[in-house]
Amino acid sequence: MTAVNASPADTPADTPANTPAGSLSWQVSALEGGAETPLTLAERALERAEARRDLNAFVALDRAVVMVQAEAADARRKAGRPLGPLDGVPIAVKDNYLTRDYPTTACSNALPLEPAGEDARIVANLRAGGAVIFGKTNMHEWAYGATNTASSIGPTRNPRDTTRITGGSSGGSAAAVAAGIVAAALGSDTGGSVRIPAAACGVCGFKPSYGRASRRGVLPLSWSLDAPGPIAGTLADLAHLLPFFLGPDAGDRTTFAARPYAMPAPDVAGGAVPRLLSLEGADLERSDEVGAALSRALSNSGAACETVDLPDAGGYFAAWEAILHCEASAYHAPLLAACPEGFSPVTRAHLEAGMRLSGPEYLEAQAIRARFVDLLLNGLGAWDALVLPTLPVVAPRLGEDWQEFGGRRVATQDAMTWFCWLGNLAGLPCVTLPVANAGTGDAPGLPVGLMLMGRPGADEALLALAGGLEGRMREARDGRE
Amino acid sequence: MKMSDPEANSLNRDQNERVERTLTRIRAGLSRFRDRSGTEPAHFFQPEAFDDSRER
Repeated sequence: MTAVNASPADTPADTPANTPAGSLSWQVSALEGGAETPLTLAERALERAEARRDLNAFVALDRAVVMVQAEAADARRKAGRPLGPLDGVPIAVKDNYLTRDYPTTACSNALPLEPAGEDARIVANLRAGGAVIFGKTNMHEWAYGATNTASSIGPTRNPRDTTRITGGSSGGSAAAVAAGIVAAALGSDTGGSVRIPAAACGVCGFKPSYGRASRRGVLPLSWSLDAPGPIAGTLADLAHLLPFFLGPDAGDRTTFAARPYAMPAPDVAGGAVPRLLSLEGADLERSDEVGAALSRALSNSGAACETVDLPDAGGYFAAWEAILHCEASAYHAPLLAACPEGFSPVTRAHLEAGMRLSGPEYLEAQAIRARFVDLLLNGLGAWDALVLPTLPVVAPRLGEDWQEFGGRRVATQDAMTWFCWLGNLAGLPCVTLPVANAGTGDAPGLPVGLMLMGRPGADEALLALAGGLEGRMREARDGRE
Repeated sequence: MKMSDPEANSLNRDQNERVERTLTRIRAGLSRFRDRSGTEPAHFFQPEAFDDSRER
């Protein structure tokens, strides 16, 4: 099969659009045109999953479950009554989304291996649109970590280099997309858990604005930081998926005022040049390799990008960490008391830290959060998107506990969330897309992610802006060729 | 769910050190803002979100 969708601009040649699954956009077109059927897509995804068992991307995958859905989709299409453009498209689901046909374990040893009997809201939305819920993906235990190395089934391996981690906590979802097993997968994001593995594996990921996407049926990590989000090969693919994420749901009160997805504005490439602010400063350092890749991508995009210093990033990070640990501890307290051995040693230590923080300290962190949102939205001047690398380094090797960059020596876990937490603390929509990396040292050409954060509620505008930048980066690349 | 192991209820030395490091880091970070207090915490309580009878 040859993918017909253009690869992300300025990316390495081996993008997911060129892998066996093809891009989601290509699959939609192929189904519509009859070049593929739900059965052929499902069979190919199953074959590819079997061929890439080395990645350890799936915690649950059942051929019978997949094929019964694909056969139903095939029958609907043959009858001329597809449920929508995604009818028959296989989509993988992170193991912290409830699903009625697979167990949900959050890759912990503490939950029973029984199907939930109901779907998470986003899964239900996709199923109603005909998507084939393909399998449950490996994740960092309870989503409480960003490396995907702590899991009941062991670490996920990066398809770009299997000696390296995928990042997490949605590492299995990103690996499944990057390896071309499926064209799209679901993740969740509390401090970057959609964006981190997407960037490390060289694909795209989107974290919606807080309060626009229902968390119903997604096992919580931190109620006020969590957001469900999609991972796919291209930005166009993300646009196919966002309608299933955005909108009100009575099962998640925070979405009561959420607007449903609206078609994004036309590509801004031919319109006004977006105003980008690149954030730098202490505690926002990045490796030379990542910095160079980002600078080159922004230069090629033609965007007006101003650099601003973000003060006190380390203090704001502490507020994010306090909120995370307090809320996670509150949620997990009953299970932790009943089954402490069901949590890995590091997760247990995190939960204990959260329990030792006081109520006033939690509220102090929430007050700092309010100050942070005000600073970003009102204290930096006018902007359409904030720009950062998604990660300060390329995907670390398995077993590496520390990362060195920008004169800093940082634990790998903290390096993974180094930039992404800003989007969760402020509740902003965020997108990561892969950009070209000339490479240095022993890791030439590994994926580097460009992260854009939009204004709250402006999810569609952010995706359109990212698409415009991507288009200009592609034009610059094609011009060089 | 597995049954609880009484010996699993206490943290080991490495875990205790990790907890202390985490708390020290968080409290140092929060303290950077103590001289700029007065901001209301970022919580919006919106009771209408709980009113299922309202028009959607």
